[in-house]
Amino acid sequence: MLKLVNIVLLFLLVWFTHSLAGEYSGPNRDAEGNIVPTPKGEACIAPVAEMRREHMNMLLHKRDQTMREGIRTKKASLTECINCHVTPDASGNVARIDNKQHFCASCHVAASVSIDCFSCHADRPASMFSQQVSE
Amino acid sequence: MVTQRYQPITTSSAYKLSMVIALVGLCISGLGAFNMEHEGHHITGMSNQVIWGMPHVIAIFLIVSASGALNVASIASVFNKDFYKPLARLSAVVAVALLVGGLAVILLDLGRPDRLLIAMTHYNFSSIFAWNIILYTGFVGLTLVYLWTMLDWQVEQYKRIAGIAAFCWRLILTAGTGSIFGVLIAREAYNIAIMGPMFIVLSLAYGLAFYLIVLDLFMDKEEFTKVEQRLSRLLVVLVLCGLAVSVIYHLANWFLFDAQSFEFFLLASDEVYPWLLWGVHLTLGCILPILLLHKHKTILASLLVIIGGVAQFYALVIGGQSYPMPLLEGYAATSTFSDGIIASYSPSHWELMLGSGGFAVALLITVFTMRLFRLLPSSR
Amino acid sequence: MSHFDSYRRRLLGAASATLAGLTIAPGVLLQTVQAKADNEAASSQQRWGLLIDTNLCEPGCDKCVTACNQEHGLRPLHGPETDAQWIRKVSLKHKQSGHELHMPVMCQHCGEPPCVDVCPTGASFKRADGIVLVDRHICIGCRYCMMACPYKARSFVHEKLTDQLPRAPRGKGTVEACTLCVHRIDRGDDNTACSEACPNTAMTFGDLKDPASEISQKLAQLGGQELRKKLKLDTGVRYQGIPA
Repeated sequence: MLKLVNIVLLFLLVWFTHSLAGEYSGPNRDAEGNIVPTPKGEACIAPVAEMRREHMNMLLHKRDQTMREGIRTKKASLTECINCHVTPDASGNVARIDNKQHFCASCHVAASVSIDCFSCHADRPASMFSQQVSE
Repeated sequence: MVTQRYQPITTSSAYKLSMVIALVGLCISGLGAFNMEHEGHHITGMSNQVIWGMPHVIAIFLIVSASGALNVASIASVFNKDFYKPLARLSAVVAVALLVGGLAVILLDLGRPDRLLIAMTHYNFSSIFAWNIILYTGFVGLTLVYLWTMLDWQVEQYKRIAGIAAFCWRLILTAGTGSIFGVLIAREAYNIAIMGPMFIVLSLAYGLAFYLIVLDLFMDKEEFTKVEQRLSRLLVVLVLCGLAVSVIYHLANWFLFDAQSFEFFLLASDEVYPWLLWGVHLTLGCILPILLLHKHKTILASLLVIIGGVAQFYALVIGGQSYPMPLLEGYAATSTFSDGIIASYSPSHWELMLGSGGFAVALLITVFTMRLFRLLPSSR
Repeated sequence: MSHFDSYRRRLLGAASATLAGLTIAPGVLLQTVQAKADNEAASSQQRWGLLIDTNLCEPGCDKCVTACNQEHGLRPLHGPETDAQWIRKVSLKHKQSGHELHMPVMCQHCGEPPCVDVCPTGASFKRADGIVLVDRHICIGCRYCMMACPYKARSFVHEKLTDQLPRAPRGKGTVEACTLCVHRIDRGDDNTACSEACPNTAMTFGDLKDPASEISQKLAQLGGQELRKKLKLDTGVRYQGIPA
């Protein structure tokens, strides 16, 4: 009897944790399989597989170079990633980081990896700030 | 020679009450800390002028007291006084408890406490603060080793060496804590080499006061009466030492460092600081306890010493920051950023809640350890 | 980056500078600030600084402050006590003579910065070209640098921020200060937001190590004082018109 209860409990636990984790199916894609929102430009700085695996290291390396030495190349710069990957839709709106449609959030929510970048950095492309800049 | 025996404390009403107070305090401080971190420091009284507030006052006071709480153990091991040897175990525990309590408050007052790992992996060795992180963890480690040599007869032969090491370490630690302020060339209140030694001397009385409260509450009454007189006389002496070094600090500021107007602000202005220093620290925290100790009111006297100590650190830490820095010699400054004016500060209840957690953590660790281990001498 | 890399970069930088000098006809003075390439690191061949002529600084004018707030997205939030001020206008009055002075005060970009000495994690640092910055990725928010700064130049972010500008990332729980418009310097601009905004051109931005720069020439002509010079911090921001 006790064994049965244990099995039922175990089953419930697995089911519960599974429902918490959800199933990872990669970033949101539209009918053609493009990541939503569609990135600008032709290609990323590295193949998708490499980007998925290495983007955090690239960003970290670039971060220290820019911060400490003032090297401001565009490759692997967070601002440039955002400029390319977070693009406004037809009505000029973008998904913010608290929205699962945001490029970074689309994976990070599913993978349950919380990132700290956007408590300081802009989650929207620089073009959306042009008004404030010219003010 | 009779072998000294030790006993854990019983589940007396003092034990239960302490645990309840400690746990309630922990919950309150948790709430305060959570809200401060969630909202940001704008809900506290701290600002860009008064940068370190009530949590720092309490944390620094606890850390300084921690080193002083080791007094009794140091007298026993370093100076080899038999009278103090049975009392040494608790002394080490109270020291660690106070230090951990103080560190918890400092940590939760950081802008980014979630970056504790960064604080522990990125060291800037030109920073006295970074050295202090090492000093604090080292103190906990060393004192625990010392405690081990006192608890375990198999390693008893290392007791003296461990005691001496802990003693030396705590002198460096308190001097280091004082130097956090002593290296600040920017501010008149702190740019003075006496900060390190002053903290060492101040620590003696405050630490002993904490220790005496614990002893009075939990030690066998019969046993306590045997040690009370000597320890309270020690407290009187140490309170007077602390007072003397405080007087030297003010005199040095006045005569050697040309900081008369700052001293005037601290001691004779219509701000809160003269009240704290003359009223709370001198009268309530030094004179009254000395009188009370003669009347065997140990707990009350010790509590007053602690309150006086907090008041003194408040005046030093908050007062030192709120006094304006001179931008240009001979000129009075005004701006939108509080230049040239005395910055106001009043702690918000969130800060007080967080600060109380330091005492709660220290109490919890002390009482719980006394229940688990044989720390107090037994009469049988 | 290896030492070899940094050596090579410096060598290449020096070589290209020489080449540029050769190609220009003798007698033609280059007035533009030498823009560094994107992939080039800040170098100790330069030291950026500001010269502020207090005689030209008008009382009541705070255009430099407004420009800085605009440039870096600083907004009023919970009152002047806790709001960030990277630059502020200070009025000074001599206690005896009543002589009045007006000046903007910001991070003085010290050669010997106390904030860098005291920072436990190394988040406060001085770049090779003399700009003192906070690496807010490793700032733990202990605020010890604010205790140590003799100019009250630093602000702590007391609340959660939203809509920060891409060029000026900043966030809750960390310390920040004037960056000498490092984003402008890195793209080769020859001014900061504040110096650009000053209607009286009371603020001169430039390279203190380049004897031909405007700032160096003005300093050579009339000198410049450091605020709280007794502390011997070798500040990168200098003032004219204040008593020596």
